Amino acid sequence: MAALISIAVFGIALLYIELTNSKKIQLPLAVVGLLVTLGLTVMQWNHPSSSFNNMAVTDNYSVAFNASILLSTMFVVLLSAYYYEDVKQHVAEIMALMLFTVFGAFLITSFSNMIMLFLGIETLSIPLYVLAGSKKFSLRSNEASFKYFLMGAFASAILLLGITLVYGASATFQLSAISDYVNNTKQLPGIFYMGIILILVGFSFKVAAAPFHFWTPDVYEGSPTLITAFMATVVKIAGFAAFYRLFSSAFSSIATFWEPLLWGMIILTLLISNFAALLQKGVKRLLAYSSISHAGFLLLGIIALNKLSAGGIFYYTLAYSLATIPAFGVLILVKNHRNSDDSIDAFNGLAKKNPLLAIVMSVALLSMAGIPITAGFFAKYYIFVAAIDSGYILLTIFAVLAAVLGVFYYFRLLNAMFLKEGEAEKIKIPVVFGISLLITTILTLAMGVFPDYIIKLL
Amino acid sequence: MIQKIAWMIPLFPLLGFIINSFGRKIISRNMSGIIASLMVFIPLIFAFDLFFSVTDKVTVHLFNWISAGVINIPFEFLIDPLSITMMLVVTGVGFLIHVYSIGYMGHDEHANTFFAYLNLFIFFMLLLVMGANYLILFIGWEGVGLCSYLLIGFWYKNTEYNNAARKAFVMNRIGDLGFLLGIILMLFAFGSVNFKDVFPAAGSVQSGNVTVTIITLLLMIGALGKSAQIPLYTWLPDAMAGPTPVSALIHAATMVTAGIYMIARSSILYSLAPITSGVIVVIGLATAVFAASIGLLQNDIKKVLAYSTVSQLGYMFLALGLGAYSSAMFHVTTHAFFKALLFLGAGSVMHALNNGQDIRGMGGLRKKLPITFITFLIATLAISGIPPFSGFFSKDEILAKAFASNPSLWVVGMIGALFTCFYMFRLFYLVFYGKFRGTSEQEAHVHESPLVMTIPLIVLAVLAFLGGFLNFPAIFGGKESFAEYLKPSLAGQYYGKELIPHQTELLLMASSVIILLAVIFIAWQVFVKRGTVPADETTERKGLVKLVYNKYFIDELYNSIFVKPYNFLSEKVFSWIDRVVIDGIVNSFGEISIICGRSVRKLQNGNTSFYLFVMAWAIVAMFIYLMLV
Amino acid sequence: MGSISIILLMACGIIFAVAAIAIGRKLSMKRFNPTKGEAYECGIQTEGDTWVQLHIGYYLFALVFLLFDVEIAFVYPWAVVFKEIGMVAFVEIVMFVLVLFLGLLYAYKKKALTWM
Repeated sequence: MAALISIAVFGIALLYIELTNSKKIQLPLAVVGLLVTLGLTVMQWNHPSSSFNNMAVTDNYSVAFNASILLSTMFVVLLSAYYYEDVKQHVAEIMALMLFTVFGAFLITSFSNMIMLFLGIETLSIPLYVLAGSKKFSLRSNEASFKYFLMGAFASAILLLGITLVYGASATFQLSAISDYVNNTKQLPGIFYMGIILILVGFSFKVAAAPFHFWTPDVYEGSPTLITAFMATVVKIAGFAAFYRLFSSAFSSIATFWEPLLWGMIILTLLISNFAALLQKGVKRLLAYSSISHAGFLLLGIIALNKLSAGGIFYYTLAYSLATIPAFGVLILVKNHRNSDDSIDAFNGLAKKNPLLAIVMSVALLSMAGIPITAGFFAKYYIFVAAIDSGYILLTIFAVLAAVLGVFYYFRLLNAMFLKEGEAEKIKIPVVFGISLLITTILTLAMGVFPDYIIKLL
Repeated sequence: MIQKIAWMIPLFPLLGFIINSFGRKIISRNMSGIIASLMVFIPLIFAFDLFFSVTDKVTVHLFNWISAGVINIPFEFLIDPLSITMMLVVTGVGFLIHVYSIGYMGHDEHANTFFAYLNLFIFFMLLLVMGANYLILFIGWEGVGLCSYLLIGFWYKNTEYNNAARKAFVMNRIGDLGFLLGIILMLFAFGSVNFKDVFPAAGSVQSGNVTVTIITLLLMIGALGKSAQIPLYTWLPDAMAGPTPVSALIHAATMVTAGIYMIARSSILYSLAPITSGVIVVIGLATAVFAASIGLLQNDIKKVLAYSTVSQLGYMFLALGLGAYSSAMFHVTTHAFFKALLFLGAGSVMHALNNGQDIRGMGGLRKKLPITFITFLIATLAISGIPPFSGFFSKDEILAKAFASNPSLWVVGMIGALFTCFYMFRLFYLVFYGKFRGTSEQEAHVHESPLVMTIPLIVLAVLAFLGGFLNFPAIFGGKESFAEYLKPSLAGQYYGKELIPHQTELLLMASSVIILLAVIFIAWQVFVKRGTVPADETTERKGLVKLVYNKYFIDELYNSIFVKPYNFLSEKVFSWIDRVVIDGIVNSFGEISIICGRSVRKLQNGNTSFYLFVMAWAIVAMFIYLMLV
Repeated sequence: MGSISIILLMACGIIFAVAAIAIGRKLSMKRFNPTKGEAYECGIQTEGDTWVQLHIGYYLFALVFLLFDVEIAFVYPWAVVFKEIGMVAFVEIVMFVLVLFLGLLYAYKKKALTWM
């Protein structure tokens, strides 16, 4: 509750800072806001509580995910100082919108009531629609924003209809009450099942799982790169936290019904994303498909639905965020340097002139590919172990194969950076930028060497 | 005491890597070479200390690494005779090659990066051999693959080199996939991947158990990729694109033997899987002879050595398949000495000739490069299996075990040995005897390498000469001390058994030596007396068009293996198999993926209403599912 | 409610939609006339581009209006239970309005209310 208020207050404060046009304190204020909120969040560790008439609960699960959301946001905000350097006016507005998104994310990591879930998802999405279009004079950005809005509205409507149908059957919004209803009713009505399907669809849209992933490549590519990084990390963390919270509590006893659907979606997601990624020429689009494929792996954690799942999903989302942010960060620098060329060829010979960037990018890519001593390896490992534990052996084998396929396209980028010749020049790395890139890289490696400390949290 | 700080061993090369990569701008090239060498030398001392103080198994526990559910994987190092042997080989040969590289890479502008990568490689290699469970082993396994990839493509200005690097990477991934699946299956079957849990648990398993057979087969696939066996061997000859010290260290002495090490480490499992062992025998023997026959006609000095490495690795596989794990390890050790020496010698020759690699452009170098000449001779004798050089003992041990199992294995193995002897002496005579065939410009430039390069050559030559006495066979009154030393680490179906009568063994040895000497004599006749030089690439061979070997494909294949090994068409046929069949299979995987990718991409057409349309139908599909259940 | 009813519902929906279009198509006479292709605009020919851009100010005003429209929606139920909850409810609604007021202030400061 305190964290929630804090993030909202800082968000509003940032808006007003923007009016005064005092550019210097925007970034510090945003960082302080995030730090204060992080402090308040961490203080709730091991102190479960509930708020808003039991519509939201704060437990270790939500605290962990919130902390990881804040961490990711922090890095994105730090990168934004450079990214929006040339833009005169709207930086604080953008930061404020980010904080509002985080507010929405907080709601959905800790909801215990369907209304709260919907409220959170909307609060999370609406600022994102605006953020996607925050490059006002870029046609691509506008297109992305509009597409995202249109399809997001569609998905929200479906989700809401799902919630309504579940309410229609169970006459409650409260997760625990729905769970009781499921357990105590012999013959569940058809509309209840329909409701579950629609909710599943709504979530699949938010986390970009096939066949509801179509918006992702277009929106990720069109949005300003930094916003793409933000969407790819924060939305994914929060989305999966909520996804798992809902399906592990309210609908866990009828898992036999929805797990086959998820099963099919995982296969489809992994297939489509990995095959499509193989052919991408643009790095941004490649990362978009990679993000879809990560959603596929993460769904394995949800389908597993056992005591390893929560930890696995948490570890995976954190590892994924810590890899995604530096990857997009390096992309921003390279792209700016090469006159907005984000093709793989733009990375040719990067290692020679900009070894630091190349190393940061490599660690990020290796982590996404799941190569050992990076966090990504254990991320996949824990998820796979959880899935195997629940008996999804074929699915896991399939996922392992998909992961191997994934190595190929990450590898293309590595190949370009280290082995190809390019007319690279030294790219100047702004200080804040460099520091955040380094920290994320070190964290990725640290998590890869000492995975136990993270996995034990949940 | 030393056992307590054994965990520090891999840290030194890692430190070297960090220093060299971050201090690229500050440290001079020579300095970085010295730092890198030092960071390998310290672990060498540690390893010696361990060698004298540890005779059994010691587990060094660092921390609890992963615990997920019932699975518990600690971060532990296992110090036992097997890992100590590998550590000594890796750091010992590695150190010499590092020193050599100071001279060899001294002119290269990226020497610092080179040394950083070399150190990183040693780090991962040590991790690989010291790890006390399959996961650490796997991390090392992947790490050395990465370093190999980086070093093959080290001169990244050349596209061909890039492709070679990529080929190596992809082929190894195929192998690694098998390896990883094997580890996962093992996790299922035994509930653990720690050596100390798996091996005792395997003790209660019946021989020929299906699960163990599958696990061992999967692990074997990994080893096939890493140790360049049929059908995953083609990357190794291509990998010669890297700098020569890399070829010596990674693609001859250490990394490629990781597969051998892994199987020897899992010897308890393999001894329970007769089917897998049979497969390994067949693959190993086939590779040994097949690769040796290709080597007969190569004209690139490094390619000859590369095929010879593949062939020698085949012998090690043969030994593993026969259950003669200590013989395999013995050959790993001696091979590391003489093959590293051969590569470094080749490097020295190339250095003198300004990077000429074609043996048709060499000749008569024995006067100008005396040290290289003598050390290269020792290595050639060692690899050919002439007593008392090290290769004789290790190869003969393998062939004796093959004879004990089935005399026809010995015959085939012997044919491979003859090939080896012939192509090595062909190489040797063409390089060091006759007249110089290069340009006059090169001739003026020819010089012996500096001391920093020749001293490692001399040390390795001594090792290649004396290495065989490590396991002096019982037949000459030796104690087979190497095999005895490894006993605690390996499954011992051969320990304490006299396999074949001494008379027979002596007879085999004598006959093989006589035949080998005859081959050397023939090679002398052909290449020195008559001065035959392999025909030029451009002139006549183009006349023999593809049609010929496509039509007589089977004939020529048999012909070249059995009837006329020195048929000069073999070169084309084997390279055809190499290129079309094996590469074709590997490449077609890539093509299928790309076709799939194309069709998937068509869906993503940018049209929002189409997206919504698909979403709506997906929901309808889900509703249909709802009706069905 | 079993699956029968769902099938029935879906079937009805599909039949209804398809039938309406199909019947219309079947029964109607099709005669092409150039005038038919023109945009319908009170019988007078349109001038200029049909895609007229509305002034952005309309949307801004609409958004600000929405802010207080929603406020009313919230305040109404609050007023009903105000007596029962008492002071706490008062403080809460004041904070609520305050936040909305901050929004209005922001819009004002950003010159959203100035017609340009």
